[in-house]
Amino acid sequence: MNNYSDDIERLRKNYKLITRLVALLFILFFLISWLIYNHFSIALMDAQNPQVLTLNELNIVDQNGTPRVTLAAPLPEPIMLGKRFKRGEAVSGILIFDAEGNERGGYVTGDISRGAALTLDEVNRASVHIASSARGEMHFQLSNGQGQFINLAIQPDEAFLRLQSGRDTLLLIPK
Amino acid sequence: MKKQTNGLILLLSLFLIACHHESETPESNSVLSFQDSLSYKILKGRNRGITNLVFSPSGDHIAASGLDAKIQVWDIKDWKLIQELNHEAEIYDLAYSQDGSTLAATDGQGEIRLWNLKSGQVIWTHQLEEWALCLEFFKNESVVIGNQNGNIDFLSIVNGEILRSIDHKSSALNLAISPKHNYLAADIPVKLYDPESGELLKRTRAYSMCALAFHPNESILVSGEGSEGTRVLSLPDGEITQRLLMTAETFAFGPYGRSKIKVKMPVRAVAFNPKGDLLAISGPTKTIHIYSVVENTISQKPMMMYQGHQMTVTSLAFSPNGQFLASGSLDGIVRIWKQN
Repeated sequence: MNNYSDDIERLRKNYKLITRLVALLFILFFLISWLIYNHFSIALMDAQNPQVLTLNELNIVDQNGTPRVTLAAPLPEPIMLGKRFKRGEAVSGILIFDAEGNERGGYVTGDISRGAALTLDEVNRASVHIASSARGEMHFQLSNGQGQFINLAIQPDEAFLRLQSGRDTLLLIPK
Repeated sequence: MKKQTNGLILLLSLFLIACHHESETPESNSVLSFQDSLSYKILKGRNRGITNLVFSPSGDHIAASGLDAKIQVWDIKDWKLIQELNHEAEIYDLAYSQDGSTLAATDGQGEIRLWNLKSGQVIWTHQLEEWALCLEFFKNESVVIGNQNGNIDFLSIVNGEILRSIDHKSSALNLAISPKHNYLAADIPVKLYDPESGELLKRTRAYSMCALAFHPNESILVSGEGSEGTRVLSLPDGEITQRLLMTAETFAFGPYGRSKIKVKMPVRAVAFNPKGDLLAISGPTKTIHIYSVVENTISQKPMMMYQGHQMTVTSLAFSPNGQFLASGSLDGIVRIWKQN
């Protein structure tokens, strides 16, 4: 009889010990899970709501993979009708492209000249050009690439408006 | 009431779409026009645009390069794609060697690769500091490239090393070697060289920018101008003998409101058929114009027009037997037009 009561007592003690261990394990499990969740949810939130994104080039492409908008420093060389030409000077800023991938305009600064320009291009040629040099000159030009253009410019000593058709100056103010 | 409003919006949308549509000029409506359904074969296979295409010298295969950095080769027996060769960057130009066993291509990372078409392996690679937009084979000894550094380099067909260079003094956008190897033409402006000696024969007043093609009998050179139309130059003097304009009609805001205007369009691709009696011209109008050629004179109006491409037609090539005209476009499609 005594033997049984000793065994029962020992079993009770073991049961209590195991129960406490299991409870401790549960607490540890929840603690670790909470820490992991906290760590990754913060990282996930950071990724979802970036405060700062630092990179050299960002391309927005259409469903065919054709770049339609590029933000870069410096920007890639211009592409027209499937051929990539050399730009006169390296520029940085934003470019827009049509569905064929032709460069059709941009908002850029020259890496060497430091001029800032906004252009709208026809296929194969610039047609609207608004620019300001680092200091001293700014102009607005509309051109059809065939000798006809309108130029409105300001320089340190003068401002002028010129309307040109081939070799004929149709309007020049001041004369 | 709602139905009427929807109808009005639909009509207005259709009107605006019609107003924005560029169309061919009325004078070209009088010529035979073959629509999309009549193109003999359509070879699809990529999303990005096609930059160039060439038939193999035997005429068994056709290869096209693209902005997606791939070269695709089709067998013309069944028009099945038989080979795909990969570069690391957009490919601008490609050419078959005279025996048709190798293919040279130039890409946007400045790599010139010579491919063995039997094994599909690269034989050699020549790395440029910048890049080359154009290349051609010269005889069976070299690959001629228009280097953006201002030189025209002759690369050994054996190992890709530079054998010799011509100081072209400007970045060549196009080059062509005449069928009998008497002339090498490169732009801008178009200059004529003796490809054997490298001697400058003539500096012409054509600017090309987009395409160059010699007539099979080397009597004329056609220059596809990046600004507008085509110039025809007589050889060997290099004088401009003809100008062919490619025009399109569009709508614009004029001094008195919205009006129809005619605009001159660039020409992106030119090709003579092997017999030399047809000239194909194409560009951003998306239409291929076929002109007749009689005694070195090109008809002022096209005799046929092929329509079907959805974007700029960048490349044209006649098969060596003259049976087919292939056209490649920035819409990513190669179309085959059977010649009767």
